[in-house]
Amino acid sequence: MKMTRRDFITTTGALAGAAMLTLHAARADKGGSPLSPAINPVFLTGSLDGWPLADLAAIGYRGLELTPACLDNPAPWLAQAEEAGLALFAVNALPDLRPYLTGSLSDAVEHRRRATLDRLLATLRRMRELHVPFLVVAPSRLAENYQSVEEARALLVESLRELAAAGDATILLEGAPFRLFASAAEIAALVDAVASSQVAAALDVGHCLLRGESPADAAKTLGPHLRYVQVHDAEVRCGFPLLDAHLPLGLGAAGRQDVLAAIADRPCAVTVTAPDDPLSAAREALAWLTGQRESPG
Amino acid sequence: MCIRPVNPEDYPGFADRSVKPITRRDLDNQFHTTAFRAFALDGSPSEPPHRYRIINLTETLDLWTKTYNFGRVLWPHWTFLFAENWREAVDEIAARGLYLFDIWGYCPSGPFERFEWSEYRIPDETHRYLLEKLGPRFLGYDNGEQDGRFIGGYAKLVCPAPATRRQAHQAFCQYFEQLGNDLQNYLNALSSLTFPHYFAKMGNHRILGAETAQGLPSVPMWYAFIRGAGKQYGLLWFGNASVWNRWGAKSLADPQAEDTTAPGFFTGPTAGTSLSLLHRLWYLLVMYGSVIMGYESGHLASATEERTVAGVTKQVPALTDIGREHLKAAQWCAHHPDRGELHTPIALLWDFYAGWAPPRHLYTGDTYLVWGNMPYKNGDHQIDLLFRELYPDYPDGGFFHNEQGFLTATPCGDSFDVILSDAPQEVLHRYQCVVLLGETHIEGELLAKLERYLAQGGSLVACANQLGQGASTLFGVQIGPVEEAHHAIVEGHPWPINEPRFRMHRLQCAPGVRVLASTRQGAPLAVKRECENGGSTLLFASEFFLSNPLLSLDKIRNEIDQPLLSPYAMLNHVKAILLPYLRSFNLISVEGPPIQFLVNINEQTDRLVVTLCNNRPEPWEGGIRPRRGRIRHALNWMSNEAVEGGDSIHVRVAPLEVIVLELLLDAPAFEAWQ
Repeated sequence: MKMTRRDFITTTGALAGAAMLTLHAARADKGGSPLSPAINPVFLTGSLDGWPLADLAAIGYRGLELTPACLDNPAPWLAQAEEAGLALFAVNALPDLRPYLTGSLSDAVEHRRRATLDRLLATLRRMRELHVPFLVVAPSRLAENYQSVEEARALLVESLRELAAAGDATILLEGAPFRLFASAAEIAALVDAVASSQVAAALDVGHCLLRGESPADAAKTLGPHLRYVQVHDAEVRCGFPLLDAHLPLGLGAAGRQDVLAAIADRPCAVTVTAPDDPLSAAREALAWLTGQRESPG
Repeated sequence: MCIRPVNPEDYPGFADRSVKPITRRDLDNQFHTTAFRAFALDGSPSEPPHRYRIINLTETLDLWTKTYNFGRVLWPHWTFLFAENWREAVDEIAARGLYLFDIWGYCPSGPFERFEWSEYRIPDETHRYLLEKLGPRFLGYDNGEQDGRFIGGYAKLVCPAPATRRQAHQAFCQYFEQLGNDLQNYLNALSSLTFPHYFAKMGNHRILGAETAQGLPSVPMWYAFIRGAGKQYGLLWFGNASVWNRWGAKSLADPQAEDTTAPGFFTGPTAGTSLSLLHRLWYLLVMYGSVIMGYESGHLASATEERTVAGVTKQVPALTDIGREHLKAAQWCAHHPDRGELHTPIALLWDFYAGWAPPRHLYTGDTYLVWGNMPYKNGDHQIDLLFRELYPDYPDGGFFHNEQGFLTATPCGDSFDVILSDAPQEVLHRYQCVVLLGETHIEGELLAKLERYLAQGGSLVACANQLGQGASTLFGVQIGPVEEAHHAIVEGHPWPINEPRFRMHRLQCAPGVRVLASTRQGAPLAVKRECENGGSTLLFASEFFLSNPLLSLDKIRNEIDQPLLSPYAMLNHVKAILLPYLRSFNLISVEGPPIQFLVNINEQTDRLVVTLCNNRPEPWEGGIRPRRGRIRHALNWMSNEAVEGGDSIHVRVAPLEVIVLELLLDAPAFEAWQ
């Protein structure tokens, strides 16, 4: 029997208790190397408005992953993040890369691709001011109705080169489900094709699972291209729809050892969604990663 | 009983809307038909330098509106707006007093230069010219099946997938914001799924409708949404039936031709939507209150024949069976203009953000999702399972070669509209009964609206788990803890009804509340309270009418020509009590095997117009009995033959056929109010 999220949180909340999880929890499998994940609060609740960022620091997080919209007006959160000791690990641009809805790097309609690039270039300018090292992007779907995969690839590579040339941040390309070039091998090939030191790869654990790849194997495939890992769970069960739901850790197919092998010593961020009880989900994610709790099964 | 038709200008805020809904006055207070779908061009627009002209303009318009009077509404492909002589076409349309409707062919990210399914932006100059020249006769640009396109092609790309239905609604709106901006926010909704309320709410849609048949949803269920959205937001609606189905398209260009097959594409005289279904859909969509009706295509044959129009004889394309059916049905409509309003006494109401869609549909192989990217919750299964009672086999629409499910029997009558929780008070008062469904809680503003609704004589149905704070008093109960049961004793039945296990809330009833079903231990399962002003409330103790899960999703197969199982069952005691309760709001009872039936009414209270649609391959025979009064005269509008009256009339409906009967009674069948 699968636990509900409420069951999960109730059970594991007791385990975690009031004791703050240590940020530098020892990792048995890596000989005690520190694990200092960031967390994406926008993914947790859908918005950064009113987020008590100090609570995330108190749980044990030391960094933030944000979305481009957050950088439009950093005043409400920047001081709070600095005070809490939360560094800016990365900007995750996937909310701005919803084909047609918000943007695409390979849109066949040039003004839409241009608008997407302009938006991301503005984000990169703000990232430079805030010293954010990574911008995470993803391929798109095939444009309707006449685009070839080759055309989509060429436009994506062209877009990545333009973004790479624009600033100091490294552009990290990651595979995303239901889109083109979703596998680690395809991402690695694209990074090679761009051939820029400013373009590398990110790995999203949930996305890997949704396309049937082991995160650890995907990390191996990406090799030196891989700079950053995002961690959330995904349900992969026969008869159930595949959804990019960014489940709390332990509620899907993610295996802890597999995830830790993918992370290795790389910076990583928790990217789960849990608007009903975000702090519990954040606490449990860290507990799961540091081995203080196992999957509820 | 409310007999008021939707008049958009009567709705609050109409005068202030920048994009106004189409009004009946815009349509010359007439019903219209449409058939014309594209202008002839002098070459391929996709060939550089993409310069082309519309040709045979007057001949084309003569053919479609004079030689064959297919109607005054033109429904053309978008390419004509980018022709060098596009103004000439608009001027000619204006001079002839024709309407320009639902200009179609938009497809996100399709290259403009292909001039096919393309993404294009209507230039401001073009839009201004259309409005200036055509005024109210320019009806809008096509939001054509884009809800399905969003669900099938874009919803699952939203990363992260929405965690709340508000987020899901926001993503849906993002898609249509792009589309609206490209199309001057002057839109006609040709729906392909069950989201017309959201289109209406956007404020940039002028009329609602749907592409019926195709591989698209079951029509009685679907038009409950479209009518409800129209009534809730003050928009008229139209009807359309497609010659396509999941496997191909009907082509009658050469009626002797063999059907041809290509991979995934089957076309020919016996491919696509059957003529029988097209025929039934016309009459049903008209009786549903559509202000414009048309078939998608296929009106004219490749062969030509001689025709004389206004003293001029010429060779023109011959009519196909579709063309003939269109002309015959349009003439029928002209002969029967006083069809009245569809009597839909019951509103099915759920939360605005629900995003409910049928458990399976054309645009995805996934099942049981709302908004295209969120799994059904129990409340969504409740909607599905109630629809399976109201419209049996409705999930099969678009999935069966034999067309099962497109049209269904309606054991409780085709008597329902879907409205959402943001419906204003006055919209609720259109209905005699509101059935609360889905993940919806009676609290806050909704509670206040329903209190006023009941105070004015409305009736309300809900489940105990849907009651928020303060709502239990509406039903005369106090809600207690949850427990499980596996049987029900229904009032008037000698033996307990066995049920699968289900969750129920303990109900403590106030004096005067009648227990209609209980457990053997005396725990109420269904309670009814008669209200002072004539209505009643009906509350079920079970959660969403549902059993506990009976089947895991991984055991459910979604396959062509196979029904789709549900993981739950609707409880038998709920069916035993709820379905007769819903039937009690109908103006007629239908005696005989299940059949699709609907009743139209107007201010003449002793007159009922009854539509019977037999969607089965065997003949139907049965009786029609008014709830009040005797039938003193009945006329079959299809044959113009009188039918013998009495307490009831006996009717025979041929297989896969529809008939419309006008019944004149010896007493009022209802009390009318505007």
